[in-house]
Amino acid sequence: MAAAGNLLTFVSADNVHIEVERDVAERSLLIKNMLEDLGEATEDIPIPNVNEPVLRKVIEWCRHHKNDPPASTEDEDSRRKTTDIDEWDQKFTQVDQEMLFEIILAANYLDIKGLLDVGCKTVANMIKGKSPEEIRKTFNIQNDFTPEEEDQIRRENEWAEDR
Amino acid sequence: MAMDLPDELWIQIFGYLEQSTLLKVSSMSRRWHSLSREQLSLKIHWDWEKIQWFHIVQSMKTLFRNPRLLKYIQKVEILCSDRKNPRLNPPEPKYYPRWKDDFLEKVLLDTVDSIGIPDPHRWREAIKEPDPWAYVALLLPNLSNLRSLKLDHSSIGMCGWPALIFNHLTSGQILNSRFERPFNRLEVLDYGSNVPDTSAWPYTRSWGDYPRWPEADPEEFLGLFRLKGVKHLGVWLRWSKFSLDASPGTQLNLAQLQTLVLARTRMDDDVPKILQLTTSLRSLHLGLEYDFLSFTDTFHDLSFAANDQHIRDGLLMLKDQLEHLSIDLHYHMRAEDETPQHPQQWRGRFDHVNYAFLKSFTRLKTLEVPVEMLMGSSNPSQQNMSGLFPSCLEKLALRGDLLGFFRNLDTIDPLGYWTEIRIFECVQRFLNLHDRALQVPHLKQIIIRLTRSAGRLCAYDLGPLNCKGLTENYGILVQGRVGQMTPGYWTNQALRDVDAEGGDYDENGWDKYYVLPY
Repeated sequence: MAAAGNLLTFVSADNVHIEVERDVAERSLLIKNMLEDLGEATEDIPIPNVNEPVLRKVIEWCRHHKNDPPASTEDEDSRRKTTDIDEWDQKFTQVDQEMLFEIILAANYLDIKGLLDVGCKTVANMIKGKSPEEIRKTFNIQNDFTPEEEDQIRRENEWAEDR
Repeated sequence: MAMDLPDELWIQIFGYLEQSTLLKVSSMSRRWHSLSREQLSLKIHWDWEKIQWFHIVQSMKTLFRNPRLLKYIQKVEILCSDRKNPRLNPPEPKYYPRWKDDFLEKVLLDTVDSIGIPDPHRWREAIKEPDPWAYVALLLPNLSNLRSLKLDHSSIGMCGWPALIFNHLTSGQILNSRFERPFNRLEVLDYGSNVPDTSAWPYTRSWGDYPRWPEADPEEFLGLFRLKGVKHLGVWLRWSKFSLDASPGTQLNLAQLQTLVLARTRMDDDVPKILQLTTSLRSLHLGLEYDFLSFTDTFHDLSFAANDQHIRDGLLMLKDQLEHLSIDLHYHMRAEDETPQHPQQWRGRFDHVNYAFLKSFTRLKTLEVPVEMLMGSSNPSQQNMSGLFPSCLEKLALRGDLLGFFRNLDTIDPLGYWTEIRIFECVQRFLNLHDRALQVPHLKQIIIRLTRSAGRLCAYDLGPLNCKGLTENYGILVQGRVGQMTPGYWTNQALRDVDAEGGDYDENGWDKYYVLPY
């Protein structure tokens, strides 16, 4: 099915066709650059790495944020310091962890900076305020240090904390 | 759970975490350990007035015992945090007891012996003493990923150990095979540009108390100008004669510099020599210092005097590239000097800085200069800034560096010197110009910067000077600030954001944050 007017058609990894407005789709720099190269998109656009439920979530985010000003690179540093997330985005990221990771991977692949930031901040917030054991459990991390290494790291970290 | 993220995304996530959480993260697993180290970028921050010597020794010991830690350190800051109360004597760590550590002493002595450092006896003595600055100096070249180094002004008078290491390493005088890429990655280097404003000292001091810094080692400074990667350099040049040619066969590397702050310098005639090598410079602060003390009763002539145009010539070489420029004049007056430099003698010194001078800086966004330099000393009550600035100018600070010295001289020439009121009125006249918006369409801020200084001389009458009123009338932010005069508001940002300090304005738009206690 070819897209009509300003509508594009994405084809997810599991081969579902999803219609999306061009200005929404262009939140993805990958798509935007592709469209600029092609001029007019008449074919379906395959999104091979992303399956339907995730792609719908991503499009939902892009639709809500379609009028955001373009991300500036200048205040990169100031933005990195804060993990504040606006209310809509907070609700948006209330999904199970697997979905959250899928969204982050999709945002990374499709090059949607704002969504990637929101996803990474959400994961950062999941790490904050947790005990080491809780972090291990949440992210399923095996402690693969030898006792000597653990000791070494403890000493390094004591030093770093103590400055 | 099978799902995971690739390394680069974890690194991005860890970028949102603070140090304490990162430390936790680093102890989770080998993979997280290595990924979080990217972010951890260990930083040394020692507050030179508060830190215990004991703590410095402990930290250095840990570093030398775990050498891979040395690689993680990207930032070193050893500064006095108390900027409102600069000390007369250079501060030093709380020293006593003079605790010594055998392991550390041995490591440092071995270093000195193995690199063939000039004057090894001096270094050995300093290590045994123990001299904190010598310890720091020998730590620095081991930090192969060091990006940013900020050292307190006290390091300069205290034998200048850190800069001597730079000097020796960059001139091939010591074997650097012991260190891995020493200072190759260093981008930000501040060597003492936090020197306090001594003109702001209470004027009740007797001759013997006059704030004098220890003389610096003339060998100390050349290495700072030879580091290849440094983009932002701030130096308090504490010596009277700079000899760029002191060390033949070594090359100054200034072409990559974007910021240069020369605080309290007396190296007038070498300024052009340095500036002509800076092809990328965007931001320049020149702090020019003059005093009676080093020139027994003869006034050291100002560089802007008519027959000595070094600094002007140096600046003109940068007119097509400079975006931020600040200049301050620092004039030491001695206590018994009842008749300080007469305003007449200052007249004419800036005459050749004519209208075309600053206007020719076609990229200048911010400018901070003494009023005398901008408009001369004649008829301040009628001066106008019309036509002085390039049209790209966005921010202007008018400095009253010399204001305090002439206040009581009304009887001599009531029109012959600037006062806070005359500066304020001059700003008002400028804002009121019918074509001001055409002359400087991007102008958004004017600061009147007064020194709280020179004791008896300065008691400003700020009541009638309503900056806020000007802001409301003309739509340009006008602020008054009283306090320390060093360094520049907008030329210094890579090293320290002075503009962001303070900010407690009264109902007239005056900020007295930087007022020193009497």
